[in-house]
Amino acid sequence: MRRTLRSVVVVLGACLVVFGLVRLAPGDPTAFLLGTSATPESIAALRHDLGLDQPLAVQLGKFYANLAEGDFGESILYQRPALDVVLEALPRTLVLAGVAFLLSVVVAVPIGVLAAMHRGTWIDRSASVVVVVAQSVPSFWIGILLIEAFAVRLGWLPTSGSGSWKHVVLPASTLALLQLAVLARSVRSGMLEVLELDYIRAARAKGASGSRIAVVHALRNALIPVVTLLALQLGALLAGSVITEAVFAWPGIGSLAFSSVSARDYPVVQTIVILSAVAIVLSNLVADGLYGRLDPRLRGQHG
Amino acid sequence: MSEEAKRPDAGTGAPAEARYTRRRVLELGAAGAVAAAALQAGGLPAIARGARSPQRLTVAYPAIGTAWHPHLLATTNSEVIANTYVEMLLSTNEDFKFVPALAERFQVMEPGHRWRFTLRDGIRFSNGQRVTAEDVKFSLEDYMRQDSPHRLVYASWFDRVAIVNARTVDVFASGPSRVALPGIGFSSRVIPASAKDDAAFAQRPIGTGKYVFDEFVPNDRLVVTKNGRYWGRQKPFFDEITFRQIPTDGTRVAAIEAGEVDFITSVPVQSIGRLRSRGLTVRSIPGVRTMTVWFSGETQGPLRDPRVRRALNYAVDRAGINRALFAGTGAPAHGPIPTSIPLSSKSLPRYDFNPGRARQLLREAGHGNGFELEMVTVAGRFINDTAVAEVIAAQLGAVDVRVKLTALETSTFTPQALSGALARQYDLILFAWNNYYPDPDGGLLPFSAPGGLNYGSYRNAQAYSLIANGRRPHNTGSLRRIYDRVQQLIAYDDPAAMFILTLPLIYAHKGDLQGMTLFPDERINWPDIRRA
Repeated sequence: MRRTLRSVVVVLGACLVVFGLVRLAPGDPTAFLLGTSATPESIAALRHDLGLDQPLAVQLGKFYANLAEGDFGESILYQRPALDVVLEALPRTLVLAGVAFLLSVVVAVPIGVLAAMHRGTWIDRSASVVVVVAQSVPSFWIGILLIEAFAVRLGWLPTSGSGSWKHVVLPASTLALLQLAVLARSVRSGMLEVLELDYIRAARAKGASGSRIAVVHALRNALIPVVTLLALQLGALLAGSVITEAVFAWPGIGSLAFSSVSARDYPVVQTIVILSAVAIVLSNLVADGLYGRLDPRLRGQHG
Repeated sequence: MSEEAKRPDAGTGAPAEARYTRRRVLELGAAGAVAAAALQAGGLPAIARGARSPQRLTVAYPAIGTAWHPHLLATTNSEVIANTYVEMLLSTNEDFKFVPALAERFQVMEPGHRWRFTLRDGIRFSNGQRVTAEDVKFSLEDYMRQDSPHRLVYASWFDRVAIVNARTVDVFASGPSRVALPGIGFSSRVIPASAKDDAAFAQRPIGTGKYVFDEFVPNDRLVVTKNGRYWGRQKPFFDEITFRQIPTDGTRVAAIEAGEVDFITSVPVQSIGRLRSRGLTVRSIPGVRTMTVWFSGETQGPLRDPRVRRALNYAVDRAGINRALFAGTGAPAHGPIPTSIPLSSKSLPRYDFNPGRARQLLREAGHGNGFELEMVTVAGRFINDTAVAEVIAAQLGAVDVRVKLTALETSTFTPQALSGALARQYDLILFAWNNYYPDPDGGLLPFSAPGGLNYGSYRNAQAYSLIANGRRPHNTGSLRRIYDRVQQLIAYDDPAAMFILTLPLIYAHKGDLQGMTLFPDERINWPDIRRA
């Protein structure tokens, strides 16, 4: 209960921070809407229409009052409710992030396990190279390389856009790569830690095979910290989607965030940040719950 | 004169089937030959079976737009795209001469004050509703009220619309104004008067264009489909046009290389060679935006001396910038009005790259040891904007004018430019000014009055008065004299800025597209394009 209350406070705080940040950022939505030929009178008129000429405290009060009614404001760019605009883009980002998440887990867990089981060998070193490259190469560059290889040269997949499962493959792979690196490292260190424990030594003494030890005995315990990490990675996935969606012209939350921030579409930026904050808080709550379930020693400690 | 045109019934709407001219007989013969060839090849062409597969055109822009109400279009791209489903009273050809669109004719009733527009007969909106003078009146008055970029310039010239009869309106300017007509010509997208009470209209706008607004997915695509009720004779070739948004340059280029799209705009300069080597057609024309470095009129330093401002102009290598950063696709500028705009002066002194002359002028002005300046540039708004700023800073450095450069993104740059803050804080301001309408007045707006659009706070009463005079009705000879004088003043006698380059518009498309016209103001005649 206390944790749920704390989560509500975090979300309300995030609302306050985003409200302040978008207004502290230099620039103005009128610049985009009215263009470079605006007159001072027209700017003043539009600022009045948008309520931007009111004191910040009044704007903040209205912002919270409207939020309480589920009103996230009207998008300045799209001329319709900001929540509608964001909710239309959300499923596409969820698909992208979901596939990226699955891809990264499917690839990172075996890499981490193999690296730990063969610590210090060429397998471990090769895995390290993959991890370092995945983590350090900028995602926009990876994206362009994938487009060049699989869309332009081989013609297997579309370069960009949305509409079919084929459109998901390249952006999801790009997005998965960053997460893959973090996950693989975490699985490896988790496995190394567990492999030193007495019960593994006991299993070995009983003659269990290496793969059985890895999958049945070690991995289950090694994955417990990874679950928390996965929850925390949701934020990284959302942040990564801004660049990845721009490169692949994927019309999700990332593209929307990019265009809305550029044009200072305050209501849309606020809605995206608030929904993201809610999602991250929820995923942390879920991770805490899962943690307790997976590790009986922790049950009751976080109540 | 052709045989057909000599006939008394030519163009009278007599059924085409009844005319057995020589051409028709030849056409029938050709069709017969095609049919015979198709049968021999083992089947009829799809079109003969009545199952022509839909023709689709896919176009990629870096950004397509966000709102599609024809009176709320906030960017040039969205205006160009909207022209597929909505039309204006007048249009212009590539030379910016007015040509009839929805209005079959217009008359000057009182020069610079009242124009009469007569609608074509039988025009219908895509929902079947007939277009009336009432719709025109509503459209013009609504547009002037709405928050639209163009409204701001035109609104002060527009007064009202009076209905003469069901097909005729009189448009009044607020004072004798020569430039009101270009303004009204470009601000007259006609929509049904019923849109006033239709809350859903903005999400599904209706017009008279060759296409109908079909679907918009933000940050992804806008789809228009053929308007089956189009009033004109020339029907579009494509059944559907999809305008895709692909913001990343590399991805947009890859999309046309992979054959996913037929046409891309804003081709990055460095990709021109690669696209040509893949057999794609790359075309570039000079646009109507001039990359300009304004001198701040607020500065108390060396820039107050016109010799110093001329010296800086000579120190910049326009041709070199064009070659190195634009692969020669731009056009070096020596004055404020792009050469494609009527009355662009042909007698201006040229600022050819001459660092020796620059140093000499600086010495004459008592600044032989150089000085420091602060420059601000908009970043990421125009092709190579920051790169141009960096090159200019380096070239000024070569004549001992040391430049400290700041880059600001558009949403930060524009409000500060409009409020005069940039002119107070910086000595040099880089931006690419758009010649908003096909008249020299559009390029001279920033030098026409203090405040607002006058980003550099240029103060010259003679220039203000000449520009104001140019807006009144004159004969062509007087107009040329007025505009030659004001361009000479702004570019050379009391330089307001360094006019660097008319930015190019660079496009790439598949080789089988035909019938396209590229306009300097970024319009493309999408509805008239065909596939070979």
